[in-house]
Amino acid sequence: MGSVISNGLTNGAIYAIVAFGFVLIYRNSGVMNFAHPQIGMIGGFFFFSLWVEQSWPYMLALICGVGLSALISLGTRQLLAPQETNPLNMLLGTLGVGGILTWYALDTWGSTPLFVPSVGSGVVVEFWDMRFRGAALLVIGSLVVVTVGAGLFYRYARTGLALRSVADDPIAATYMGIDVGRMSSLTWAVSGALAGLAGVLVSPFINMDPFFMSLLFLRALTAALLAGMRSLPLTALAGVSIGILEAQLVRETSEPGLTELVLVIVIIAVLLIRPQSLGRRTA
Amino acid sequence: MSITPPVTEDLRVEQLAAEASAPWWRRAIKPLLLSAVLLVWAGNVLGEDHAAIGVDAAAVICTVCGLHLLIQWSGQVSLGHMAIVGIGGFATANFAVEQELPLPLALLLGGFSATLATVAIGLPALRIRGFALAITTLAAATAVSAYLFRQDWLAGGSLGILIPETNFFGWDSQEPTDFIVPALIVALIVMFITTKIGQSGVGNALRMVANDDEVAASYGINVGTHRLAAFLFSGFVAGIGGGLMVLDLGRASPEMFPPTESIVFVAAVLMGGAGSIRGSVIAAVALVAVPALLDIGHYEELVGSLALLLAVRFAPGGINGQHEHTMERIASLKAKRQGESK
Repeated sequence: MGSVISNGLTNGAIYAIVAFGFVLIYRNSGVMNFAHPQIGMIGGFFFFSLWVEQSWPYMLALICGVGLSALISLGTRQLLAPQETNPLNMLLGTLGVGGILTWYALDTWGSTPLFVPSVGSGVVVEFWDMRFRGAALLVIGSLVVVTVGAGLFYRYARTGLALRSVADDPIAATYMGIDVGRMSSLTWAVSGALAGLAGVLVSPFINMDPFFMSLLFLRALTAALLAGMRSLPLTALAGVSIGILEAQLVRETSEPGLTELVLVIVIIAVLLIRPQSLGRRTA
Repeated sequence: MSITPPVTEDLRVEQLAAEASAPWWRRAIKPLLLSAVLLVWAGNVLGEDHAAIGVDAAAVICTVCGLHLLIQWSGQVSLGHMAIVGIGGFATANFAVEQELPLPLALLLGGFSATLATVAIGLPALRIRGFALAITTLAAATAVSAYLFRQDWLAGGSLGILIPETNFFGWDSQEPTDFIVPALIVALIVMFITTKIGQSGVGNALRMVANDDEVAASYGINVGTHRLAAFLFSGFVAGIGGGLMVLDLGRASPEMFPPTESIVFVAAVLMGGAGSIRGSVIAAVALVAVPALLDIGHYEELVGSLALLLAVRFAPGGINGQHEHTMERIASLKAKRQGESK
């Protein structure tokens, strides 16, 4: 039982960080960024190249990976900005961007899974029945820092207030002198950085190939939808719950693809019961 | 920048009306002749490689016609059509191998199986629409390929299903130079039926539902039935497309239907643009044939995504939009010339 919870917690924290990116952009402009997982994937690979291949220091490589993801995300937004009022076109456009990024990763890093050594593997924390290694602690710590940090930023910072007002009413925000486009760019950059962070943090737990973030995509999307695409703490809770449920499911059965089936049923159920949780601006 | 005189619109409408009011046999001559020429040419002239591309294109045309009806006419976006294509393909293979049915019958039953599977996606569409529906279909397709395509009863284990039978109405289904003729006939039939649906009252009702479902409902159109029917039709022809792919290769296995490739179909429909299926069919053939003919190696996988991005970002009107634009320009030039000669 202990291993189920500790594994589930670690995986769930990653799902939540990916889901944050979906929620932030959706809250800001009613758009779903389907290139999000691939943006994180590129960040993770860049980190791998710098840290493992070029043996840069860990923190520097991490910052570069996260930064690259933020830049790509920002670039995606700038490229598609004329379509930003049409969520469906944005969805399709970002899908195209995601495909191009996957192709680029396949071309550059190949499809053979790469192994990333675990950071801080000497550190082990044990309590009750659970064991957490260094990499897992880093993931869970990041989730806590991001959730609390974003909460404080949105609550108290001036830019946070501006972002909230854009989410509530973009037209009124414009009249108050807030540059809506710039706020959107900022949101996309932050969201890309979170994707990059998730890509870097998840790398020791998996074999890195260009499709590794696509596996997280469905889980993160479910977490974001369960949280109604609004609240970050709720998203974190949903992500962690999905992680733990998945760990339990994997332990009980060895049926391939069962998790995906359950998640899709959850997604369809959420959209059927509360169709208003999406399409706020499309209706 | 010239202002288009109002005459031109009348001229264009008159032109279209004259075409539409001709007797059916006169309207049928041109397409029938073209089809016959196409079939004779494809069956006799094309070499092995080109015929294989042709069969691929025929399969994609079937899928894209259905998707055009779904996206452009009924206004519902499906991002998971590769899963339906796959279900059609696996069902066709199973009917041909397990039940030992003749191949044409297996193909037809494969289409019906895909239709049944589409119900699962189509039913949520009664309540979910637009952007959320696109997400639902994408998620459902992921689940289908992650779960259903790994079930032994459908996908025949890790090796997939091999089809020993090759007799398709006397044509050899695994010989592209031979199979291209029936494949093109199937594609032409699908194009014909789709066009007819588009021109019929059902097509008008679909477009009305897409435009404003409340107005449509107030005119006595059953919105739910039409939305679902659009899904079922597109599922059927996608299944036929999958069946053609499977019969051509002589086997069915999960990696033939990667869920991410669904966006190629969507890209074709978006590049085609609103209106008739002509634009989408041209785009579908281009997306299949151009990368294959140019032999661009690993850039081939880039084409679908790039096409989708460019279509969304730079050419929302698609090929049809461009065509209409050109025709209007021609009509306005004609009107100008008539004005000058008077």
